[in-house]
Amino acid sequence: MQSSAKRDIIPGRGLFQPGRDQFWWALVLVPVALVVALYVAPIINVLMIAFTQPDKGLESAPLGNFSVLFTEPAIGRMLWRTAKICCLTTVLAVFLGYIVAYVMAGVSDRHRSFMLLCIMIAFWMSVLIRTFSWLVLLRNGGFVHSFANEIYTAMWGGTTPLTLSRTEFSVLVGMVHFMLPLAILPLYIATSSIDRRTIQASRSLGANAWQTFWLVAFPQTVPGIQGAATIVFVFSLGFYVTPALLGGGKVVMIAEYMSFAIQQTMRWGLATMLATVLLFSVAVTLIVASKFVNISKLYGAK
Amino acid sequence: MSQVNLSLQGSPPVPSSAKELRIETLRKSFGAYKAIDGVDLQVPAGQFLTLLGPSGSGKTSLLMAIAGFLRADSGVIRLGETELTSRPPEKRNFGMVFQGYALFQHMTVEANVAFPLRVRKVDAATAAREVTKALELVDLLPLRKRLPRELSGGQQQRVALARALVFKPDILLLDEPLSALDKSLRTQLQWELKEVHRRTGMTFIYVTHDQEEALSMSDSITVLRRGKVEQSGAPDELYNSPNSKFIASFLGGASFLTGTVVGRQEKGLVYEINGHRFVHSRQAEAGIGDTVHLAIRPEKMKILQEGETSENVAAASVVDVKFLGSHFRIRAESRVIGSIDLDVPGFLRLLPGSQVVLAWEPDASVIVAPD
Repeated sequence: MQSSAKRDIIPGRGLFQPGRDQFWWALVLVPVALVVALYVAPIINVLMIAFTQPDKGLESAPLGNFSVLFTEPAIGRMLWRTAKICCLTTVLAVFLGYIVAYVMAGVSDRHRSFMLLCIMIAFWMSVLIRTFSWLVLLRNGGFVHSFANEIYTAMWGGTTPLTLSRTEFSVLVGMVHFMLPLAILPLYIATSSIDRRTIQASRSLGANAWQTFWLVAFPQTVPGIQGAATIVFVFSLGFYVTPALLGGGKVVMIAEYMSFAIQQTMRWGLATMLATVLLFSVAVTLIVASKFVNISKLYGAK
Repeated sequence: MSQVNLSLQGSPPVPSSAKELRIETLRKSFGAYKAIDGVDLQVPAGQFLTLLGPSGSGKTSLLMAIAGFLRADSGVIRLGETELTSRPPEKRNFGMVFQGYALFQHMTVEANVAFPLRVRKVDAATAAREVTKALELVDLLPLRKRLPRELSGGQQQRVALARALVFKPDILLLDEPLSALDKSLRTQLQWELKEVHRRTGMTFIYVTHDQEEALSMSDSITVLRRGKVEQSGAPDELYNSPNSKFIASFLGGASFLTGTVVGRQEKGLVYEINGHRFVHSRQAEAGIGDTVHLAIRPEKMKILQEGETSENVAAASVVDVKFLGSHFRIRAESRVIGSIDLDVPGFLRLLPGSQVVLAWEPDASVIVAPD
């Protein structure tokens, strides 16, 4: 008895023995090596180019590649457009997603599974297919375009036909459509964890449905809203396919601009500088968001 | 100081606006399952009524129907002259204390208690005054800036109580409010709840599955079973005159005898079990030849000592002894009358296997309906 018990507590010899911490860390080594080789190293390379290899004509500029941020108004406009579209996408996707998530938390299990299936199908479908579908619908003479034009002419007496494709509007539609599942899932987790008894308590204490929502249900979902907004905003910032296709070269956002600089104009300094700005923006967003989410967790969930 | 104490004594100050709650043939089914199966109930103003029953008896469904969360299939709920049957919960003006408290975790204690006044658009000064009063009532004023999760279970329960009382509801509904607390805290809060009931004079409708809690707190108990009212009455009435086997065993526990009525005498009814005759002297409508079921409380059954005699005796052997602090509970097996539970004082040292003679008075037994 005693000897076997004693043997059990002697730690296994060798570094990579199951049960020792090193063993588990060793298992992670392979993916860590891959990430360093394929992800971290190129990023460092990009940062190096941005800071140390100025494009032609910028060799003597005080900020090197970064000086174009202040000297080229087109770049400023492009960044502003990117920020605007990303913010609008975030607001719309979270707002629309919240409605879906709130309904999902309330319906029967059967309906919920059906809703979830629809969302997942949209989520799994290739972004190209989804974007091209919108292109077809929004192009001049497309279904949505003709319909909108009919209404526009009938109700407001519009004479010049509307343009829907290759506008900020069409980019927004495509981006919101893509982001919705990403927003709905965290929001659904938040709405489904609303304590049902607090809703009943609120009603029994005299609050009507609307007061109950605003004062009791909604505050419980704020961390979920912050999480969803962060995810959508970060994804939107670097989004390439949809803005490029639905913007059709007229609504150029940062990712498309970078690709253009690398492949067409060969201004690598510019491209890597923009990549640095993008990386910086994402980092700032995440840091700010993590502060918020932590605060709200301390406040509400814990 | 002494004046305050004096004013708290005497009969509860039933508010003049208080009204009787009447429920008539209420029914609610979920598919084939009848949660509420034709319940009639009258709750006079200011009463502490307990809805008691095992799980699935329909007590919570009934409370939810009163609160307005469950729409009954048929039947009427009335408060005084006002019909409430199809009113939404927020228009009923009933306070409710939930199992697990259901406090708003994102609001302070103060904000939780102020909530009913806030949604009623009560002006800030009045609201602050009422909140202070309600928090004083439950002794939580010093903790008013805390968040619910910074409080103990008992304190959270008191916040829920203050929140449900602050808007002076017509009736306070309590859904197993103490079930999450440990035993000593539960006893403490039972006293506090009784005190709050006495001081406010409000009608309390209290749901529990704990028969001890029901017996010790209520003015009146309604026992529910399978969605029906099994028996209603004052606690002592239910305890001393249960009308069914179910009530007798659910409220306090009892042993059951089954006999055949063989005759009547001046003292009462004579019944026979396995060839032995016994006497029952309490109310009895049974005729000769009828089968009767009798319940006997453990404390009414005795062990016959040397030199004592009794009208009803049966030999038995002890099979189990449980120490309960103030006394022992004994299970004895009799060839004549079957398995019997009885309480004996601590000085009687009995062991499993001891041979005893059981005895009970003719008025100790109660005729009950079988299951």
